Amino acid sequence: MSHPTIERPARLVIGTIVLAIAASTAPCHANPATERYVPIGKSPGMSGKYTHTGRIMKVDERSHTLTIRTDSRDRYEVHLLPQSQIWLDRSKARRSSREGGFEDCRKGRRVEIKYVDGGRDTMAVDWIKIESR
Amino acid sequence: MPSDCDAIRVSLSLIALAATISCSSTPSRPTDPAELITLGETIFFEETFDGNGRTCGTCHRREDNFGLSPAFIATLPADDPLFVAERQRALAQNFEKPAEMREHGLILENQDGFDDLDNNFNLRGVPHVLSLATSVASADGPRTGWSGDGAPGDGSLRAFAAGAVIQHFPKRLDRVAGVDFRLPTDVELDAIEAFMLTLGRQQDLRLPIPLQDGNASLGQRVFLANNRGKCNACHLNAGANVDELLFGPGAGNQNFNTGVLPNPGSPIDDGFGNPGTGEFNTPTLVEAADTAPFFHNNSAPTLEAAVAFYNTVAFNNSPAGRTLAERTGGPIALDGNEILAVTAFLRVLNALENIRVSVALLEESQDLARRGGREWQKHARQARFETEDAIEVLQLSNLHPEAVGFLQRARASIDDGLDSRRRRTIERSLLQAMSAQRQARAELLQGGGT
Repeated sequence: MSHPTIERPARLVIGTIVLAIAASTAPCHANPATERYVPIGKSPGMSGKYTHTGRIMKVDERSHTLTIRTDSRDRYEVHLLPQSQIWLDRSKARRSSREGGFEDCRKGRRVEIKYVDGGRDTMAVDWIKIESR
Repeated sequence: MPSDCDAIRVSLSLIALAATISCSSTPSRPTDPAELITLGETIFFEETFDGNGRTCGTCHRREDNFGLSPAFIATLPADDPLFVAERQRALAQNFEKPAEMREHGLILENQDGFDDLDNNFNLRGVPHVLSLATSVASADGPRTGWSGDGAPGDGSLRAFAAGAVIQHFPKRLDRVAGVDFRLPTDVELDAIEAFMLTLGRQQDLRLPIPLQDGNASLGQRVFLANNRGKCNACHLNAGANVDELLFGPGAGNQNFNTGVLPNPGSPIDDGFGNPGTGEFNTPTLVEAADTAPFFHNNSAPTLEAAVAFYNTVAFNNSPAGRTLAERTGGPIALDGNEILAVTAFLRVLNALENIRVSVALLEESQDLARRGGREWQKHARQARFETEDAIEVLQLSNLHPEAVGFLQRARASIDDGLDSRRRRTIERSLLQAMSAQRQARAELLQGGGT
């Protein structure tokens, strides 16, 4: 497994996280439609087990890659695919969640990320919720 | 003039009050599993999650086998929370299709997303939530709802309630958590799941069983034979799991595209996933006879129509039909008598399950009656629903008139108990009801059901 763009000290942490997540297989029959309306960190049975929550540190528009720092201060890169679902969680502003795009991935924004089943070793994103107002 | 101490005291009182209010609005976790189940039952039938007034029990009615049929809907008053779309302006468009709900028992779902509410929706029946302990697990993870992907989060039965609140409980279609509903807490999800898992059978049957009725016995043989009915291939022991000999070890509950046609005028429901595979989840059959109509879109109004469907070109040419033919040596080709025999078998199975549940409820009811209070009545009433169902499923095919007689006696005894205020009369009535149930059971099984 290689993460060429990640700083050396972070590699071990990232590798551990990846292996830990890959080792615990997330169920694959979840429905994304209602998931969109679940605020960041509240996904039942998913948040904290199969997702990462943190802030966007860096956005690479060319490769659609985000560098994330988790709440536990680990740092890693995630890759958005064309089919990755991007939702803007506006619940704190008491507004409806809506579909977003890569342009909504901005530095400093709080996010929750679920990885593609079977694709966690590449940190490919299944869905990402972005806090927005 | 108030002192600093008074100000602190007032502040502490306000904090304590706020804490009390906060605690009372979300339940704490019971340590006793039985208390968790009781909490789950209360939440299931009473908790609206600050939404539009619906509860889980609005669609999964205790009196209707924890499902919802058009016949039952027709008995409900206009102000029932089921009909919120007819009363609340914010839900008037694209929340339900009231005519479809009233006529066919169909509920609007947005499994493929909420971005085009005018055009992108499905209309599905309400599946009962009986025997979930036997019917959710698969080799690929839990399967919930009609297409097996009904829950958000981890897709589990526990997470299902959160998705149901978002889909069916909101005050507005904005569906903002904390505004249009509140999401269930972890404790509430645990409790609802614990309660749902207590409903119905806790394990699958082991067929064959020695049935008294010749036609039902023939139906059982047809059901089990992989060269005749082939039903057992996907409904092993009349449950919701596939036969491992045909589908591999641990396959469990599976989705299939059986070629069920859409209802006229309804959008095509593409089932599991987005874009969908056309596959839907396999339900249990033990509980089928008293939970009509059938299939995800309620398109088969009777048990006979549902069984006959598997004899059609539509099924035999479907992906599921072709898979079944490959693994069993040919398509399903039953004659009319065999179809009726299979339905007779399923009716007797259903009646046996009704009786099993009734006796268990009456035993609990009697225990509670001895302790005083009125809690026993809830169990007795539920036993009456089950008894009523057993009578109906047998009578509809003129099966076992003697058993029906015993069941009618059981029902009358339950009524006697419910009408009485004397503890001795209540206990005697419940005992008589149990005895009559057991006599009915003996009529259905060879050797008196011993």
